[in-house]
Amino acid sequence: MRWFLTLLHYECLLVLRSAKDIALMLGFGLIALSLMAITADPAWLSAAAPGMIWTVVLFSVLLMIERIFQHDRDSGRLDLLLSQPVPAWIIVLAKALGFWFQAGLPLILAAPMASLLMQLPLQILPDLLISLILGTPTLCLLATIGAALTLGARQPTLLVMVLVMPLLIPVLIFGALALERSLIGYSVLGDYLWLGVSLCLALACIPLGAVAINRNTTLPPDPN
Amino acid sequence: MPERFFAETHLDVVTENPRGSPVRFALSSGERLCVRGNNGSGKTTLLSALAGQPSNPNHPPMLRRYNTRSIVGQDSEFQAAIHWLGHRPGLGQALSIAEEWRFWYAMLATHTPNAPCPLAKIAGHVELDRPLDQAVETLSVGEKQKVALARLFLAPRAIWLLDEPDSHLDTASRNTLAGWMATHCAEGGLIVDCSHCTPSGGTTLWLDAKE
Repeated sequence: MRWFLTLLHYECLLVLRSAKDIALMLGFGLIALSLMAITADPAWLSAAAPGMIWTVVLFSVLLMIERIFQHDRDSGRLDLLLSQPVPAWIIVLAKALGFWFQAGLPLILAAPMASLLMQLPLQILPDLLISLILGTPTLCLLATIGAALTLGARQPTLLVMVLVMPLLIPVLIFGALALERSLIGYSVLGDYLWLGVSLCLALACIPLGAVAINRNTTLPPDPN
Repeated sequence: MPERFFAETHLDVVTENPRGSPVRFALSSGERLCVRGNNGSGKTTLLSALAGQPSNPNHPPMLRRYNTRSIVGQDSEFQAAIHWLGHRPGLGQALSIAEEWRFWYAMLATHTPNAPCPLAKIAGHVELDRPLDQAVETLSVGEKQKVALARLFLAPRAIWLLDEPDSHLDTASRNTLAGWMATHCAEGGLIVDCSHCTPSGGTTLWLDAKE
């Protein structure tokens, strides 16, 4: 627990100092949405908005992937951490949570702005926020695990996209479905539950990431 | 003569060396082994494998015996007894000196530290004359090395594995470093280090590159 908190504190410091990256991501997301809003037929806009918002969220998160492990790996910090008796899954979990602070939380805070841009009615804003709060942790967690799996690859972002995109599609579908149902006044509880299930499944993938960051540090079995 | 701080510690290592003849050594408390060799003779590989991190998965297995335990791969008891200073300083991104030290002070402690990190004491110890809220990135390479070396004093560990600890340091700091190593050995710790300079003490192990 102390290890986790220390690592998380470090991640938070990094987030506070990466305002430029976060601004870039939010700028990308909001510009993409406003371009869609400008070019789309107004009659068609609010029907297409849920899918558009979730697609932009997905791409914004994927934009940030390279930052998750890159510096720690290149500077030798990750090796140093792994040379300590800290379980690797704690490192992955702290990284994922830190990545959510960096990528997920700003997107949630920017959601009201996005819903204004897409001319969504104000009463579906709570549903938008709840679905983002449930969905973005899954995106961030899977992106972190993807980044761990591709550690050391030259251009990890594209590889991670190919690797984790199929896993992220359900989140996209349930998130967009929740908004669509909310728009026509149906209950969205079922979609929330599915988003929660996705999060649980993503949590279960953490050991995969832990093995991945440890991969280069595991010795072959003792021949004797 | 300082009192022996660390319990009696033994370390036996046997490993293949892909670049030369097999390596075998045994160290006990108070001893220092200086690994020397030409560039590419496998010094860094040997030290990182010793720390439980072979730089490539095909590296031949290293048999280590720590006190009475045989260790293959990573072992939490052994990992908690070593300080490994790799050839990269491993400093955090955008952190200040104080934040960097507080992080490792909390990470390296074997139990929850009940005192705050003694920053001023550490800074005096490593002779770093900078404001502690200065960003590590703005320091010179030698000063970064000092910030990294300060980890040795953030938690007492019996085994120091130092990969060219004197790189980028000025002559005065090299002498200070030699003093730390002598003190550490006198306190009952043991050191495996590699360097291109003539070591100030301990035995020397030459890694010969294959013809």
